[in-house]
Amino acid sequence: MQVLIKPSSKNIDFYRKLGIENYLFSLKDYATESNCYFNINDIKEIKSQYRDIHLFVSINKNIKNQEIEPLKKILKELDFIGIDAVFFYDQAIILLKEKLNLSFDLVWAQTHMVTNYNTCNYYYQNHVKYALLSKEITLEEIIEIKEKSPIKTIVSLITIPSIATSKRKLLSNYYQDLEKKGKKELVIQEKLGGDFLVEEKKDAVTFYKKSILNGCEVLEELIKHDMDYVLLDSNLIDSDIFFQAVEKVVKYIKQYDSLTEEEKESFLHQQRKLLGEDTGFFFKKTIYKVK
Amino acid sequence: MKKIELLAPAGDLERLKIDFLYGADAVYFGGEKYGLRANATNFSLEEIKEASLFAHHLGKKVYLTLNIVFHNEDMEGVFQYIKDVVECGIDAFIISDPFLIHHIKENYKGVEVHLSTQNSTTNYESILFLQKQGIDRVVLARELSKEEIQEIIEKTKMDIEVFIHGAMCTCFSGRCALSNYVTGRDANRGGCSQVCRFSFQSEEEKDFTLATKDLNMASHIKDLIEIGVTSLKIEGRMRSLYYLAVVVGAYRKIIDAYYRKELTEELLKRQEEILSRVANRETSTHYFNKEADATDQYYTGRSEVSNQDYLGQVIEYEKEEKRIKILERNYFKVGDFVELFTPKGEEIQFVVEKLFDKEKCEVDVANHPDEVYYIYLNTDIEMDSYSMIRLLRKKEENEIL
Repeated sequence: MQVLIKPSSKNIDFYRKLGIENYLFSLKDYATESNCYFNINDIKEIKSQYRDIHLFVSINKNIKNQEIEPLKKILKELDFIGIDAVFFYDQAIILLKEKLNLSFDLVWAQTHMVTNYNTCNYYYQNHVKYALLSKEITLEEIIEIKEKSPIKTIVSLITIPSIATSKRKLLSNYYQDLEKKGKKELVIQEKLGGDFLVEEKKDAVTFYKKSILNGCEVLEELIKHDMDYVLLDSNLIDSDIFFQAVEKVVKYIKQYDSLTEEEKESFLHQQRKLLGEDTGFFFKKTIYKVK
Repeated sequence: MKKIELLAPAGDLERLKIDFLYGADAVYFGGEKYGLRANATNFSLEEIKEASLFAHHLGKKVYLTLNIVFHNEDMEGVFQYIKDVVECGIDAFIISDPFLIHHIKENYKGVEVHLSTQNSTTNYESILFLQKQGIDRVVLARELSKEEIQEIIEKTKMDIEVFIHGAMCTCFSGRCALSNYVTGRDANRGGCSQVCRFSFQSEEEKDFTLATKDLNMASHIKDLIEIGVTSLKIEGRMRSLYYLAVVVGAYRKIIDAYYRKELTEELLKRQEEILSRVANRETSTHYFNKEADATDQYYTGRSEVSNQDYLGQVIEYEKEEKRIKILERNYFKVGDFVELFTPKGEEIQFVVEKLFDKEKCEVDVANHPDEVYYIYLNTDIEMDSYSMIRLLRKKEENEIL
């Protein structure tokens, strides 16, 4: 199982020293859910500096008509640079890849929609090689997808989950109503649901959970079931905490075969101290019938 | 030019009949499984069969929502269910999860596949991909402008459906798991707890709210027809009979007037006024002419208005006695100025002069919901069942005038 890092800065030296080969960069103007965006030149530069790394580029926004033509040009450039794959939300990218005869692979990354093996198979038949699985499914569901689909699976292991995206300028509107100078980030609380972060950017407002998803509790099961990648996403996480957590995960995976039960437990204990104990939906099913 | 379709929601068979009587060309509803309104009244197989027969007898269509985003456990029985509902006679499935496309298209040639707004489709290239997959119609994301919709239609020639009336999501449909995280209920599997109507505490002096006003596109039906939209969709499978009668009826009048070249400012104004009387929230056209902004949202201090205009449903007209037999819904009295409207679009305005209870004893007020009352009215109008009566002005307001 490999580690995929979504970094919060353009400097990836720290991760390189840990031997991490796979990186996910959010493309400027075409990605959401990130605080570190890369333009074509940044990606070109990193690729020329680190020839042996695998580059994944996130183009996960809802694309508008007027963005299609410039996007074609960008996709061609990314292909020329030699990136490995594009994370997509919008299905336009599948068709554009085919029309433009591009050689990079595709990652189905429709956030909350990547929830079953049949749809993974559907995208696989449409030449999509990877799927970034939804953070709202259980470990059991993840394992079943892996067993029943040939698609390469990516599981979000450490991340601050993005939970909703709106085109509305919800914070600007809120502050306009308050007649106050607007902020671009706001923490909100709901009595039962806890704390959330609302973040407004040029194209979208994103809601995040205000705690870190700590998937280390399921790491052993993911390794045992031959999951292909775990994604460690630095977005909104304190960089010192993130570095420490990444280091421990990399070490755990590398040494897994020789780890004692005590060492495994110690890893979990340390990660809980570092990241908290929010295991998201790995062990919790959502319901939809309330009758 | 092919006439645009008016598509209405149906929570049950009675609502489906109302939709058709008041002018819908097609109706959509959920079955007992796999729909995004898991907690609504949904149609059994027998009811789907009856709905299909009823619709086809009138030359109209029925679409079944099969629009959850599937989890592994939902797979069991889905293909058998599809076979069963196709045998009941439905004309199209509305789906969100694309793994269903090929199965339906390969096995059921005459049945269309419509892609739900849950896919948040926002551009022409995405639609060209979906077209290639076999999708017959796309329900566009509600975040698009007139120009964007027009460009999509011009570049794809795809059948396009757009929402024209009803509640709006705050976030991109399908790209929202607020319900999952706040209440543990899965939005993409029919459990949406409408968290975007909740109010959240923040460090600021007022709560943070993200609720939106409802959509009302009455004034842009002409534009939607002229840019080539195929179907106009009304939201609200859980809405009342009265709401459906009024909303479907109003849009039917606007559409028909357009094709007859009789769509005047006056007619439009009248229908907008009628629509405003059944609204329990303010309305807006949201993204159609501009980016949605602060004026399209609600902030704290708003309360939803419960509509009291609907006075009753006509059961029959007793011609000899010149009495309308009605089932009362809301309080009214002698002296109130009311309007009777029929599924055919006829309207009679009159003052309630004489009112009788179920024993046919004369009374001054009708104050028992769900009870039968009789109103004196001398008219030659053919009174279809499901004609309704609404309040225009109370007696006191009448007297001032």
